[in-house]
Amino acid sequence: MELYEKIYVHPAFLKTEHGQISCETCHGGDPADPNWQTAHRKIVKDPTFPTADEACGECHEEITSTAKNSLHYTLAPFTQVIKARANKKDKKSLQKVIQAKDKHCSSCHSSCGQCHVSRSDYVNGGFLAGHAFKKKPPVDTTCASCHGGRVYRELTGGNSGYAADVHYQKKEMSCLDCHSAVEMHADAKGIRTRFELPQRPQCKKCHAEVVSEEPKTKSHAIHKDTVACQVCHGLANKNCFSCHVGTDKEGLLYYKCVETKMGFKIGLNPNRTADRPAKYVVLRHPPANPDLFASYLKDGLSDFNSLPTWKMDTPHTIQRITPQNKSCNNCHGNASLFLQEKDVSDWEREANAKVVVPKESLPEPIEEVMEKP
Amino acid sequence: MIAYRWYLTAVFVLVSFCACSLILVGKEHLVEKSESQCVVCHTDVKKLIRLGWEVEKIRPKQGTSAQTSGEG
Repeated sequence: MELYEKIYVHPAFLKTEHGQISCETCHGGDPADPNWQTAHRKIVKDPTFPTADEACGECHEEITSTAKNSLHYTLAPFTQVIKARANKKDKKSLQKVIQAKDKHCSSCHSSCGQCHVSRSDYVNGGFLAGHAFKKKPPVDTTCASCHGGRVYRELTGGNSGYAADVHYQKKEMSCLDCHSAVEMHADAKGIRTRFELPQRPQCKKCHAEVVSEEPKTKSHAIHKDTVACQVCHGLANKNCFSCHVGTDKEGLLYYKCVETKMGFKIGLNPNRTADRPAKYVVLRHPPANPDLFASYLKDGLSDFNSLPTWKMDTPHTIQRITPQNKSCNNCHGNASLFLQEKDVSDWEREANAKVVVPKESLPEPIEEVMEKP
Repeated sequence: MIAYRWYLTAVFVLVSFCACSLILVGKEHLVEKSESQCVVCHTDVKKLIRLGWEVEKIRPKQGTSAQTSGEG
């Protein structure tokens, strides 16, 4: 987008409720000054970050009071993951890791304004529609600008050779049909991963008859507490391997992702809870490795093995019929579907000890007893 | 009596008309007054394009680092 497109305010906006508020009330600057350079002194580009309370809170207090602690706003799990893997014994090292994290990872956050008014800073901003406030953000320019590489592409069938998610394909469902405003604005204080958020999307919200105490389908009854829904109904997801970040000679930030590939791996759930009891879950390899910040410091992530590099995932590639659920023995006895020690690089063995499926846990071939799914 | 009533009605209509006109003129005046330089500039595409050129001279567009590779 050209600069003028990003900052053009449509006259129609001025007639809306938000348009009645004078510019400087939220953005500062000097509205009387005809010189744009001096008029923009002390201008606040996004008045909704890092303090959502001031600009939005006056009228939308019930939303900002929780949204300011939401996952998108704080990216708290990012910080927790980086800190868990960082060298905590050396304070200087930890500080450098946090700085590198802030430089490279924190731009991915979102704010009230960066969903409802403009694109996110991560993609260099720009109004969604002439400064109009969109109660329901357009997902293709908001969600997709940050999640377009993996999740959104999976959902919409953007990966060559892989169908779009059935919810998108057949029901024309999009991000906000599952990820409600309640979830987006939910207070995530103390939450370690998005999977712990009580307001997260859950299959059972729509498919209550399937995820019930007594499911009608035999295959659901057999697997209900053992296998996560996506294990049977997910297709391949995108996995990234070996990512490095740094700053080049011109001061520009860069990343190098060595390998990206589609794949499907089932692993063990490292944290079985009453809420998420499945023994088997789908995994995804995020772009994480011990040398992530090597251009800034050595051994910054010396506790790298404290968390797995194959993470529990909920791929957005759902289909009713998948290669693994076509018959019992497409999964039972099919070791290639499962993350095994041979699939894991030497340097990440220890990190993934709890998610790798040992031979004795691989489901053995069985007689076909179930009805076709 | 009827003439007096007509007289009162006419006065009432006249006064109402004047009051409405004053309110409307006042509002227009307020709108004009509230037109800040921000609005003048940010609602004018031509001005913004020219401004964009000026900004680029001072702060050239930051490209992508040549070292970036792979999917982000």
